[in-house]
Amino acid sequence: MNRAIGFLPLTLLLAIVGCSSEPDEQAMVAKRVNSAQPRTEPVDEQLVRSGAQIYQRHCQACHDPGAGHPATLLLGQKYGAEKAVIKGRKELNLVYVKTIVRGGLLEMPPFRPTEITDAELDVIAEFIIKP
Amino acid sequence: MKRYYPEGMEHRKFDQAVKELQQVVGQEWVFLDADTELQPYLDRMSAKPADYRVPSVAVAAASVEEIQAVLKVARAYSLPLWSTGNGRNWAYGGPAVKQSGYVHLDLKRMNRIIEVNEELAYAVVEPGVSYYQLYQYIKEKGYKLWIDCAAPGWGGLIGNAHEHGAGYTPYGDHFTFQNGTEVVLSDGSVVRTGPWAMSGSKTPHIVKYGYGPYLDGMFTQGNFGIITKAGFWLMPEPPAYKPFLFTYERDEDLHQIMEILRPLKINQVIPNSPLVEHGRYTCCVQANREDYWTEKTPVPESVWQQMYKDFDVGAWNVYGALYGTDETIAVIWPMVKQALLSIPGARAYEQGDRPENDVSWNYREKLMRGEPNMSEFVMVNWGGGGHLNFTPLTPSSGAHATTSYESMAKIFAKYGFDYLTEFVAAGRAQIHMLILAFDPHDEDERQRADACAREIILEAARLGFGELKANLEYMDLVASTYNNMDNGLAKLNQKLKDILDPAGILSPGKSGIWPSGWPEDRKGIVNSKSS
Repeated sequence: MNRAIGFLPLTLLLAIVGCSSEPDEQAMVAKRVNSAQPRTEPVDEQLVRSGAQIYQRHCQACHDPGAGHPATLLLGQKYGAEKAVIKGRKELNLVYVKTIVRGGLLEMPPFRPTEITDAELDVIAEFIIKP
Repeated sequence: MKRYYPEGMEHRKFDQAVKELQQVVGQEWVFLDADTELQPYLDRMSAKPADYRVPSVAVAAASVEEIQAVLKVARAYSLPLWSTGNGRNWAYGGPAVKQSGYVHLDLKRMNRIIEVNEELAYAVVEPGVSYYQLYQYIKEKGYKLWIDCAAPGWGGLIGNAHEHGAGYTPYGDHFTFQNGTEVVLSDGSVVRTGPWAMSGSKTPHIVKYGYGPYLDGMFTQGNFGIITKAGFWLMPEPPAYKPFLFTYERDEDLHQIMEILRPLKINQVIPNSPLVEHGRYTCCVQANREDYWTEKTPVPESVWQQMYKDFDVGAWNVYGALYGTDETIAVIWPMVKQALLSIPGARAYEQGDRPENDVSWNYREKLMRGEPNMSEFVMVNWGGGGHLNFTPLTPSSGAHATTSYESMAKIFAKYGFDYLTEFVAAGRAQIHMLILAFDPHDEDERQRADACAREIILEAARLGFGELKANLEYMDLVASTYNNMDNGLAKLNQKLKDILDPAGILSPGKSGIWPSGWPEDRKGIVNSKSS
């Protein structure tokens, strides 16, 4: 397992591939019903969300461009306007992004494997650095 | 690998318990290393340092059955369990445990939306479901339903409602709109409340009270069981929605604002709970403090006045909204406008009146129609990341609002912090929301924040204004202020705790409720030794 991925040396990080999965967007299993009868359905535990889905759920509210996004504001204040928005930032790399997601930075708390699985960590890191 | 252990437990015995927990949830869902894996379970935003409350282990259960199996291990080894859903209750402790060495029971994997019923307008969710998750799901499905979310949208429905949290639509009193709870008790038995207690009930989430005592409330802010599912009413999307803002020039206008709002709110003319936000609060969610004041001392009044001009806000700013049809709003809006403009210097703003980049209007307008966002979290940057929140409850009157406002101002000034505050005009009572922002990396600031926090709680209680919530550090202190009838409530809670959780394994110390069997000196121990 690579739960401690944010804290491993770079060489090790590059060699590690996430191998776990969790109940994904189990919202998918909820069904529109037109009666008061509660329903539950089995969950597909093998689903891994796409980068866009993970970004939309966990990242964009703080990291999107423009006013009203706490992380964008703070990164701009600390490191300059050119580093305010993380999506597509050229100098970022996979290891760095994964390290920050698991370890936190400034006012961003670390994200647990129960929120973003190790398999999804690779997916979101690739999504972030992609132009 | 740095490890922490439950207080007084032999390491070998604990290690055996961990093996059994790994068998329950799988090795990959048990986290042990305090230097790495457990870092996300710490609170870096309170007055105590992050390493003040480190769990011995975090266990992520994915189902009721796994929780039952975890409880079996906990009972066998007397493990203190501290459960969270989304772990985003920052300002009150976030994902941290009450004391170092506790076992963190992480319920985030339980993230199923069990049901959304559009016709009867409710949803049933597990503890790991966040506001964003439910909001995005409803949007994807195209349901004409609104959620009601907390200001930072990364929190969860169950956690927030059962911590007495509030939102911004007419469904803002979250526990009022909760309906039907599934709870696992410490002995592993499962209970469903209200109409949900009846097998085959057709009304488990649309009627709050079935037959017999209404028990849902005892599972809020308590440690009598672990909530694993709950229903929530959702607001049908109204045909018309009209957000508004009124600004006021003077601090002393607070008195008249609250006098005007009371009948408008109690008579449900304004369906949601208007926010009476001080200009300092309005500015700090959009300004960079260092652009205006580089000292650590409180921002001077003259500088605040400059910010009010720059962001075109008042000393007080009232955000609210009307809901219904164009016809009903056309009747109500002139009444509201006339009343709230009756204070000299008042200005009214409607949709489209504010600049496109007005952060405060934009995020409030979204919240009042249930769209989650994170804009208010900008405030955390104000002091450097640390923040503690306080929520004294005062009667809805200008006199009480002014008393609370001025009393708390003196305490913030005494300890040298910016006074960030707002009132939630909830009806018969107001929530006086206080944000104490500080630098958690500065030892002096942390100590002052801690002393300031204690004085706020005690002074509010002296005035008769009880807190609605408490940070982990101040749970015992707040509980001690609810001392009427010779501590009658605390004594009842103790009886319930002893009956429902005789092993004392569920969230010991939550809301000041401890297991009877724990010695007094164990209740204050936070820094368990690591090895």
